[in-house]
Amino acid sequence: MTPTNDLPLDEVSGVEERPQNRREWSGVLRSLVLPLLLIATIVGGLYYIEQRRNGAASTVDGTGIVTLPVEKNLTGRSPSTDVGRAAPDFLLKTPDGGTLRLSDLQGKPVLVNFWATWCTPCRQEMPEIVRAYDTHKAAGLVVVAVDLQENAGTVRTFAQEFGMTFPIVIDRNGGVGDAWRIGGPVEGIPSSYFLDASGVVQARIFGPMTAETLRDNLAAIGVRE
Amino acid sequence: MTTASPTSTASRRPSFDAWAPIWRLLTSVRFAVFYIATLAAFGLLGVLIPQVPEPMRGNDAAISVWLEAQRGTFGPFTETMRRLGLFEVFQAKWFLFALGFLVVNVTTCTFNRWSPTFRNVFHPPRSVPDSFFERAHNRTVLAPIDVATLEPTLRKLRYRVETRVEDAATYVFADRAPWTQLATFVSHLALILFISGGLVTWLTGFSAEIFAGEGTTAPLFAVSDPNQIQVRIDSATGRFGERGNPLDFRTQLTIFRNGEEVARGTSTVNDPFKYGGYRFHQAAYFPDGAELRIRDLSTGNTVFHETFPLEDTVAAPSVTISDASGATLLADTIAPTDFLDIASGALVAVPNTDRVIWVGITAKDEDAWQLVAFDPQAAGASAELRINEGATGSISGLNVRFDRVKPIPSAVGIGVPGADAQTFAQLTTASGGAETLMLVSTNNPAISLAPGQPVAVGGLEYTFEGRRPFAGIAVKRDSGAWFIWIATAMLVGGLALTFYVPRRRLWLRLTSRSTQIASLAEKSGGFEKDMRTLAHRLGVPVPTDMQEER
Repeated sequence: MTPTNDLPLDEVSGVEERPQNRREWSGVLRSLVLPLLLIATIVGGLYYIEQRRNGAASTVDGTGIVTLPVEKNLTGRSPSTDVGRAAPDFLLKTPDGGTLRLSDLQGKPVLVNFWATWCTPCRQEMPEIVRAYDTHKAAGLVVVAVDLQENAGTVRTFAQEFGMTFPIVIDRNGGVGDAWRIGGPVEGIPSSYFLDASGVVQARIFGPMTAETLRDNLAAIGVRE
Repeated sequence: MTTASPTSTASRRPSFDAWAPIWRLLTSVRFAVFYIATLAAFGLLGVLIPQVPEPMRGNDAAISVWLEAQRGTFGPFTETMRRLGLFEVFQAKWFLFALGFLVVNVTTCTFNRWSPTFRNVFHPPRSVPDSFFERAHNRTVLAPIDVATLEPTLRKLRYRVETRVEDAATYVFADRAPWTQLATFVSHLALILFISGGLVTWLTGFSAEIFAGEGTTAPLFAVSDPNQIQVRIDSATGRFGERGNPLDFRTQLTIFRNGEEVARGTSTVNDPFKYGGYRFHQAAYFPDGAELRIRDLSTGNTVFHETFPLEDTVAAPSVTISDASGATLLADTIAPTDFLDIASGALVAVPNTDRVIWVGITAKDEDAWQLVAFDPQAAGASAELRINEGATGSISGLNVRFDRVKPIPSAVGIGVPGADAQTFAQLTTASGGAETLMLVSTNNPAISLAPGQPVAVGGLEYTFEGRRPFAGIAVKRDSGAWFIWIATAMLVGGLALTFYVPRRRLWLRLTSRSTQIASLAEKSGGFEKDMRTLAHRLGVPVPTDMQEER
């Protein structure tokens, strides 16, 4: 049935017959900014709650990348993992709860190997690294195996099984791996950095190393058969 | 009677003209409907046009190859369509921007209707001019009613009633469930949350697959990540029915984060394990894996320790060998260790005899296998046997029955040190259930390993630690899921209130001659029906000249 007249009933009676059809301008703040802020608050709040459920990783007791002392940086340039630059310094915990600082090893050639027990190529190359270390440790070679974010017990078991007698540290929150560009453009482990006695990166290998690769790059930091 | 002060029915527009077109556009229901329809059309394009498969996204080389395949369908338009993002509609920036704008549109459209609606719900005009009873869109006239009868009747019909007497008339204002008008805002907010949830999922959602053997650990993220999680498969089990149909797959998991165990639990097909917003779904079960450890005997160090799936199969003949009297000497599956041109097989020492025969299998044609056997110590026609599946033949005085072909789980190129690259492993299960892992290579004798029994070969010690099932775990994190659940509840609730809770607002003018009734002209309708009910309850004749807007 059609309306009986066309007069806007509201004008006379004050009755709003279809209030949902009406819109009112209350100024930019109230009509545009406030509603959008409200929605942003609701969406942001839900997102925040969801993120809290994630229980994001926390930093771990001061370990991670630390400042390389000036007197130990002989390059005069800021530390970097590029060849010819002083290696970024780190302080990490060992599986037994001790700590190791990379710059403390200056004076010796160092092979820094990033690995994990779940990484098949790492497992494949580890016997070669163990063999090289056993061969050259008397000549001063130090191997630092940086495990990425694994449980200490898992790392200990693996190290015993594979005869890893060199220092092992655990990068608990992945911060050192990030700084050393593990998972960057090359995306992956194992990754190995060869530092000379002054702590300068002389070579780096992404991917598993063969005995020959290992031998050639150790030679680059003065470790020869 | 007195009347309520009139309220402007025209839309109040922004005083600052620059905002006017924006505000009019954003608050226009017609524009909102048109915009949603347009978005739906674009969504339909994303359904009808083939989309770049998810694993290829971000890989330009893979996308390029995929696009080449599409040229057959779209011809010269392919490149233009790619540039327009029509092959990745739901990932295209313009589509996401359009969704974001829809949120702005719906939000503004909704909130600018809040004040009139709120006022109408909580501060309605309780009195109207007498002329309103002559002009209301919904109105009727009943026979004279006593207010003392009317009030309780309306209250029984769940109206809130206010009565006022003026001059020769009594005015009644009756309101039922006015708050349900607010339900429309709940529904609109739900729509906004739906879109927001989709955007949050797109921006922060995570999905990964883990396929790991029992006792092994796998990371959730590639290499290092601040939120890295490691998943250890403590046990993977599968239950099968008598016909081999799967009944249940379940996996015991332990979750590590920052090097610490943070959770452990069970994941099944229907009940994923949950931790930190991640859901670990049992997606697959694979029973045939093997754990192999190899030690260097000179150092004692492990040089190989892998749990690998035996994802390939090799065909092997199940045979029964009996002597001339019919006594069974051997009934087993012969795992091949020699891969010759004529067949794949192995030398078999026949128990309780001094005989050794070579038993193998070859493909007779595409559908049939043939057993090949020969006696290396004999010569002549009787020294070779070729029989089909199910047949029995004789070789050097032994009866050989080719019972059936059995697939044996195997894996090629597992990288065992001390062997050549073509080494492969196969896992056989004897009729008694005993398992054997056999390592086969081209130039070396096969190494047969029983579980837990080390075998020393060439300075290395091989130990088959046992069969290890693999679990496929699909890990998902959908940050937008909360939004969707809440939005769904709100939408259902909002729609239910809107459509199933009848609201009605009546103004009544009672005189000695008649009872005039006016009502809101809401499209939810039902005025006529409500008036019939009211008349029936009051015991007055049902009006015949009812005005109702439909």
